[in-house]
Amino acid sequence: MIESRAPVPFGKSGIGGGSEEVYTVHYGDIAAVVSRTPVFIYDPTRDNALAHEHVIESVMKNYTIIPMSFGTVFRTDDDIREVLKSIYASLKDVLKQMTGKLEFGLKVTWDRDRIIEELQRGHEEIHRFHQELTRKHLQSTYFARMQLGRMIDKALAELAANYVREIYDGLRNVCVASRDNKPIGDKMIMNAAFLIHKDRETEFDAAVNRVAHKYGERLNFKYTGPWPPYNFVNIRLKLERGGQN
Amino acid sequence: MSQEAATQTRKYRVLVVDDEPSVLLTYRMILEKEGYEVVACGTWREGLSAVAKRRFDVVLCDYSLEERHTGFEVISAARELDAGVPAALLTGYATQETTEEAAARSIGVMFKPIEIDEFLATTLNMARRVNGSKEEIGEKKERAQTDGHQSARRQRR
Repeated sequence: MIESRAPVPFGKSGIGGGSEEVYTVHYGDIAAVVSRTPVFIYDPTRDNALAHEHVIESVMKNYTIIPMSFGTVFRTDDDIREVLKSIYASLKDVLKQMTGKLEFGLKVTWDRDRIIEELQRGHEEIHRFHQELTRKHLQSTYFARMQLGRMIDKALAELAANYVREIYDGLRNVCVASRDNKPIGDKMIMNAAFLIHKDRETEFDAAVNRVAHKYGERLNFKYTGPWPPYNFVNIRLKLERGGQN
Repeated sequence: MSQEAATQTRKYRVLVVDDEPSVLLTYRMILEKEGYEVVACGTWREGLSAVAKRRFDVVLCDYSLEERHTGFEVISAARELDAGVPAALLTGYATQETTEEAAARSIGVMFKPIEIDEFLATTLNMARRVNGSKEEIGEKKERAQTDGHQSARRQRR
């Protein structure tokens, strides 16, 4: 969704292996960027996702965008206009809030095995308990091992929380908002999205690199974007699945 | 465990599912120390996802998982793709019905608290029972990638 009164062409889309014109469907000064397709549930394959992203990237060059979920299909242009009409006020409000802003993703991972080894050597309480297990030949005792596991798990959680807090502290001043998503897998300690002003992109870049440099080899930073504000827009449409009448 | 056994077990891939994070971490540390490749899942859903993606030499599941799901469901899913995969439930308490169901489905039951040596011996026996000397089935443990540490790298689309 974008703000535009006049029709805007965005080239062709290759989603689903096709090549359809990408055009706009309007309600007042709001427009949906669409292309023609059969009523069909598209698999989120790499090719399809890239085709979807390619269109979003083209639109983002000149417009503030409210992204729709991948694979959203309407039967007719009139249906699209009807939806635009029904949520017009919300769209206007969100577009106003998102004007001039971009989203960036930041995922932080660590080598947990290495951190555990460090804790067993350097964390006073864990080191002492570990030594005691060895001295008393309790390594095969279930409760003793579980106790050690609990201590390590707690220490890992505290350490991760400290790192995450410090990273947010280093970026807070250069972003408009942030969102903390659930980390994926057991090596990730932070999975965040940041909303920033376009004119502070360079500053944000520098801040991320400064924070990453601070942690050297201890933490790995995966920094992506710019993205549409996926994590900062929450408009839910009640849609039916394709194929149902 | 002997050095020889440790060398052999390095190639076995084990799935462990337990919804208690510290217990899951403990199993993982114990098994990894013995040279197993471990995939640790904290939920029933993650367990299903793991078995859909990869084959395992052994599946170990806590009996009681979140939202009233059980380890039976994860083991059943694993066996839909690999009918012969050895599996065991880890539980502190099992009803006679549960024990009988496990026996009928050739699923082992390890009662907690279990001595760690016994836990390891049982796991190794299960891995060997099916794989025998077919060492090529497993893969060596993949080391964590550490190539992204030098600086943050933005991946522009």
